[in-house]
Amino acid sequence: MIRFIYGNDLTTSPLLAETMFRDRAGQFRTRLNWDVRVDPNGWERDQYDGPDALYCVYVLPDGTHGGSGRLMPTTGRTMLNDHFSHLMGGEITSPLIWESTRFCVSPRIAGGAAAGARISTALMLAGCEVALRFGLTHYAAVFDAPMRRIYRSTGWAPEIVAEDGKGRDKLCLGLWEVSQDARAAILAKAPEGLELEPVPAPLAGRRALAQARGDIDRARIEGKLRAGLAAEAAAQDAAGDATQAAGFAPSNVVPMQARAARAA
Amino acid sequence: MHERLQSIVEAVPSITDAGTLRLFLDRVRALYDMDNCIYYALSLGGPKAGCEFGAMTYDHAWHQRYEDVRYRDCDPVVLSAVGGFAPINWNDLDWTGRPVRRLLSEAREFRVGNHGYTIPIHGPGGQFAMFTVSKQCPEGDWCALLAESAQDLLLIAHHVHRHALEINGAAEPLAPPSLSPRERDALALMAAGRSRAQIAEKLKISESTLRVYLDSARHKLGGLNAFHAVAIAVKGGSIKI
Repeated sequence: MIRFIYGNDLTTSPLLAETMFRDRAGQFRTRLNWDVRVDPNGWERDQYDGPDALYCVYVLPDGTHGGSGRLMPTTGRTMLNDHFSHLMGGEITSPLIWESTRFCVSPRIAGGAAAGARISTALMLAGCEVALRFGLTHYAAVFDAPMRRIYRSTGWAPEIVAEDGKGRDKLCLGLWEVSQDARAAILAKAPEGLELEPVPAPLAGRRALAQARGDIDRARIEGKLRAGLAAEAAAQDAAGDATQAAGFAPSNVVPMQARAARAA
Repeated sequence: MHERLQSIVEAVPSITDAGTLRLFLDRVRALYDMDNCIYYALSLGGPKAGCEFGAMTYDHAWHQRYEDVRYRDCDPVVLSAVGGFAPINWNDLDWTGRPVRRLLSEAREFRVGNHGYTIPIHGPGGQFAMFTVSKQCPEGDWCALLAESAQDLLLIAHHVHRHALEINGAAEPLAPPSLSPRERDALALMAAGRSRAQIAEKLKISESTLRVYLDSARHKLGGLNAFHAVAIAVKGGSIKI
């Protein structure tokens, strides 16, 4: 199953967060020997793992991390522009273009290359779904040359627009074009019966508030929030389902079947 | 760029104050088949931090009520938008809790619409704005409408925001845009009257990748579209023709 989680909301899925950051350490430091920082808990995290980052996570049946990717818009801080702008001779910034980083398949999974390919394909489908939903035109990512083959095998190959270095260590800057055709091509290779949870709204309401930017009167809002929470707790028994009552159809509880989508 | 988006984007410079912004939003509402459209900056950032600017097509009485009761303090749309950059489909929010239910039922009376989509915009210096459309319709219609408009809305939101910063004197002085060599090549060829297909062939890239270069250059230059970006680049000396 694929879940979409904002950095803000990772604390609500502690097992998934724990195994994701540990698997990233296994993948990027142990296996690929990248110069990444691993903290004393064995987590690989960097400055881009902020509250805004959107993670696509493949969840294994035991609830742990099977693979993931991290998405963010190029209108904000990106790894691409902060560290790899030399590849293009300049930055890429547009609300229509997001970057993908830390594409990772868990080193713990059983089933070898075939299982890895299934998870990679599922993650690409997840990324494509996000982009279609948000109206993006492209993803950009920097990756090692051996990843090219993996991306190709998922049905959604990037166009390589810049390269640096040689052999296995060669860095590539790739662009993926978002389209319904791309989605169909990945679906044709995606595992049968793969479930994708819908992309949620940032849980924001509560926790993001604590980090609300200084432009909104923090103290005032937090005071209101506490009052609101208390009122909500008190009202919980009395109230029916407001969402239904108001005519809102909550779409965040209906899992989407990739199989059904394929048939459609 | 499609005709509809083109005509909206070209109308952005007509916004000079809250009144003309309102006229602009009316136009977006009509062209995109929505019931309402709102642009609201809760902070213009930097020296204008805390300054608000915006307009909406809602009934004025609803805006008044919303402000009087300070609904923004509990509105799940605002709370979610403060916390992230990703567009928000109102269906995905948590609408439980007493103040929120009251907000909902009153919003219904004022015909806000049972579906909505909000694009948060965050910028340097605490800039924070929201661009929203909403509509009363069945869920299926809403999903179809969003699927065909999401990309346009994303672009419109960013255009309006940039323009709002400018007319309020809150825009960062534009550093000379750091166009990459490929962006510059693409703009120069466009200035020379080449078609996209010709430019892509000349630069040995796909038209899809050309679109990335042109849109990134457009965004950096503050252009309304690729042609406008070319004009700005020529005027500013970024490219020579």
